[in-house]
Amino acid sequence: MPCSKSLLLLFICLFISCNDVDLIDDYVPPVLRITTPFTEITLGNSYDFEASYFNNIGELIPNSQLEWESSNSEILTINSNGNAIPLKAGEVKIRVKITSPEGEILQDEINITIQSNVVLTAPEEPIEEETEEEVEEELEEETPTTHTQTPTLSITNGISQITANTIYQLELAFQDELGNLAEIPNSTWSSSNESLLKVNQTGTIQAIAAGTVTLTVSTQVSNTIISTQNVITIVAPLVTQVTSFSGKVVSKSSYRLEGGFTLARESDGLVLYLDEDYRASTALPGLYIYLSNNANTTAGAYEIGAVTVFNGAHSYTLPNSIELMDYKYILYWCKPFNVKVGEAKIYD
Amino acid sequence: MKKSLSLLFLCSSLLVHSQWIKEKGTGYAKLGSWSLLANQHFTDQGLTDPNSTRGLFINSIYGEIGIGKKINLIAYLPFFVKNYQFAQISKTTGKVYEPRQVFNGLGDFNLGLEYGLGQLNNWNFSATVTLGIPSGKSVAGVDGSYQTGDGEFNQLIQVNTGKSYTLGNHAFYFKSYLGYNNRSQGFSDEFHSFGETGTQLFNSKLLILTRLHWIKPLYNGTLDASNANGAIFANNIESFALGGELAWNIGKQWGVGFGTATPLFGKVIYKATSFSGGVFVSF
Repeated sequence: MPCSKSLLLLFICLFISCNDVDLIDDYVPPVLRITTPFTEITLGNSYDFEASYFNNIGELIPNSQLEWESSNSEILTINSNGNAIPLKAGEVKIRVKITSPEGEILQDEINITIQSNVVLTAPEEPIEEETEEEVEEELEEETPTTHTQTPTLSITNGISQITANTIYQLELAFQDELGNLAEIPNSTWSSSNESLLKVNQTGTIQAIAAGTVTLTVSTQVSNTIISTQNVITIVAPLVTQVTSFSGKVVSKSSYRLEGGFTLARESDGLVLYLDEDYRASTALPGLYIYLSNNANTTAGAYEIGAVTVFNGAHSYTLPNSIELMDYKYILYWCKPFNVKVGEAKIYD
Repeated sequence: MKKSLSLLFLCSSLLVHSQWIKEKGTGYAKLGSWSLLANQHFTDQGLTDPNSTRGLFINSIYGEIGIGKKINLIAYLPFFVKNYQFAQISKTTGKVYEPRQVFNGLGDFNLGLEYGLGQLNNWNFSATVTLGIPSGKSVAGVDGSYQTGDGEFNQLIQVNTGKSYTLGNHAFYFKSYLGYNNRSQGFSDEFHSFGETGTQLFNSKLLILTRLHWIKPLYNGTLDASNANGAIFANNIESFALGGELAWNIGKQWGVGFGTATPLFGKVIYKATSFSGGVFVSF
């Protein structure tokens, strides 16, 4: 029997001695990514650009030291925090750089179009207002008047539209009775709705909120009050940015998984839509869906949840903390057995 | 995924080690261990996909005893089932994504009765009813996937036949069965077929045998990923497995045995070779 006991012991040792590990091949090239997908901005505002650095396993490294630069500092300047101020309309490239711990210089860049914050228009025709005395005089006097002009006041750089939260300086011109440009008499500026647009007495306007206002500037010449008006539409600041990405979910295993997707920024947050052609195998246990920056692992990924729909259109509403460009991949993963079933690249 | 199949496969290999119907009061018992380690599996399409390395280790007692002239009582008792997964570690950084996971528990017990039907032209016939008792855990471990049982009560009804034959001057045996496994809880029923042949060498000191076991699900279950909570690991499994065993009679009534089996084809099972061993005694 000692022989049998030894054999039994050998047996047990043989079978319970396994204590190994699985090495996950999770390397991905480090990447720096601008995550504010602006394409058009307007003059008169400043904009905060953001970028994220992901290391060689796709892990977000917070508080990275980024270097921002503009391809044309006459059009746009940007400081070290990514705060950009457009200076004039045009095209500009914004570039961000970082030096990785391995000494590699990583960069990303985007093209930005800067639009003017105002739409210029022709000056309004001057409006002459007459006093009561003048009207009486005209009625009494039957003799023809002399051929002098009525003095005029005009806005030389009038606008039809301005972007909210921006400032613009209006300029005046004054023509005297002889039609000569003359020094502008004291003028009075007023806005029909100061909650939408304010103006000071030097003609500097401050657009506040969307709407339409009539701006009036007037002055008194002798006994005549002359004025001119500028109807201005105030629009919300123009910031055009990418608001959705679409693509295809493809199987990376022998299990069926396919269908189109759209990741879109909606008014109530980010939503992942799966299209009508979506199909997934129901034979697979523990199928989960993730957002990740590493297509080879779910470590560091955001777990959306267990897959409960295997056929047809459906959607996942994501928390507000997630931005459109925070993750690069949608992953379908067999969670219990740590196997990638399929993936979709959200953007290149 | 495939644990239940593995359990079943082990069970069948032990069950069929018995010979014809035992005389009343005589029997056979085996204290055995069985191990499987797999980093790939057969998918539902029968293709091969990788998975994190998972292992299953079982200590069990198998026994059969004659309780009547033509009736044997059969029991398979997996009293220790260890379901484990290797630690998941980043190859790039060495970071531990998931530590090694283990769940230990009881497995699903099998209790059966075999009845001798008689002999026809040198063929022995018997019938067996085996009850699969859901004594294991069907949802276990950190994520529920470390099951030690499938959570369903099943009844395997089989007709066995066997005969002795000679090749040259050497004696061999052959045994086989056809079975129907009625499964509950939404699992698909299964068709089983089995064949085994072997011979004894060195003055009957060594038994050497080989076997084939085919399990074919009937796909009549309702369980799938859309309505189950982990239990689908053991549903719609299909396997066509080849195995072999060596049993050495050390004493007059006891010996040791070592076996192995590998699925040649399958669906929803691990694609790996299992190894087993044990000490048996006849009485």
